[in-house]
Amino acid sequence: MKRTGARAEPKSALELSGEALDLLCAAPRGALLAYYAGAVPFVLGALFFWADMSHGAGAQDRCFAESLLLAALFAWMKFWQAVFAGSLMRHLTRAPSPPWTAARALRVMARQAAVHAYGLVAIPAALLITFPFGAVYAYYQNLTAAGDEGTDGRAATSGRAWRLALLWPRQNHLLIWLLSPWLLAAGMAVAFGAVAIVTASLPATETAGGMLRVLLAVGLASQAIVPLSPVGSVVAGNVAALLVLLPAVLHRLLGIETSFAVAGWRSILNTTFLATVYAISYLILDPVLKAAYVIRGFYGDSQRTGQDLLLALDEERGGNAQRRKA
Amino acid sequence: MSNLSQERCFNHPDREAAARCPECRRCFCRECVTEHEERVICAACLARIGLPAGRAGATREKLRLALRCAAAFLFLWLLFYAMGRGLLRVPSAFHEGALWKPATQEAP
Repeated sequence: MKRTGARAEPKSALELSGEALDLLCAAPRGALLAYYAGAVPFVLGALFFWADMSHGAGAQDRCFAESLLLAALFAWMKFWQAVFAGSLMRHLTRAPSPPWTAARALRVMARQAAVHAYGLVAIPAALLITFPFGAVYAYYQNLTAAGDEGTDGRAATSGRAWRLALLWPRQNHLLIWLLSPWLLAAGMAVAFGAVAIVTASLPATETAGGMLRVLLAVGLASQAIVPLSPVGSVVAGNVAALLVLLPAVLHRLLGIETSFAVAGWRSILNTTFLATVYAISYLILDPVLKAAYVIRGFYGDSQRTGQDLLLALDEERGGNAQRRKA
Repeated sequence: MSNLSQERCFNHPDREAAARCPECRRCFCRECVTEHEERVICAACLARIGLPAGRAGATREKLRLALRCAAAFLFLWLLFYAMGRGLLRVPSAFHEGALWKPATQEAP
């Protein structure tokens, strides 16, 4: 690794993304299971909430209770994301896992919920202002990546997260550009708005011509997502294609008639479809992004502790010992 | 302020000072200071400010965390409630894709 000073960029964002994928593959299966144990219930809850609030009859009466349930699911997700990040960090540093107790679980859940609740406002606000977005986004990712130990004080954890957020800004911004689900959300909102405006402004015509224009507008709008979130747009495009084609394939090959196949194009021209595409893309992108921030935190801390060099030395010693044995 | 190189350790007068504690302003040798929250601080000050005082301090710390957690949870609840109310206000024609109907509907 090239080291020219404390502020040197040790890895490019692409290299870091590759390392994140390697880490996810090498980490114990339990780590990814922990992530999805938290994220899937929240995503399903959020989709149900979205669909119910946008279509459900009498949704007004249920809004209070459902938002309470969603808040609980969010805290649950943040807890499991911290467990996931902690597991990845321990795999990276080869540290032993401390035993889980009810007190430790409660402490981690309380700490994660206490900081991440405000992130739901701080991150979109920073995205609107634009320039502090990178640092604010990285700060919240670093708080998750601080993991599930829960032994450091609040000020120490927060200070570390902020120090790492300001470290290597170019790498941080490129990483967000490559993998962040928030930029994908912004791109999809822009695309959805563009399609809505284009199609609403056109006069009504026969089905084929109208659909052609809608498809043209969708195609043009999707071009707007690519510069905002290149990897995210590929993932979302694949997810959307799968969701569109799967009911048709089921109908053609197995004769299974789903409500999506009956509805045809209508089933994709609604906000719930868009939210579903985003939710599945989030579940694919977010673990990779979190793993990348765990590695970034590890390298950032290693600048002070030299832990990356110590681990490399350990590896070298282990290799030498094995060669001698052979 | 006196030059640190001329100072002696507060605990070990025979040793040269290596750092000045930002809390008590006394000088200490390498052995008597430690890093805490990105500051080099002496052991006595660390014990005073770094660790909660006994069981009462630990209970106070837990109570503070519980209050912060409850406040954050309430904030989350209100945020999701506001989002739900916002979604309810959006016309269902927007959600259900009726926005596209003028462009895609069949000609009579």
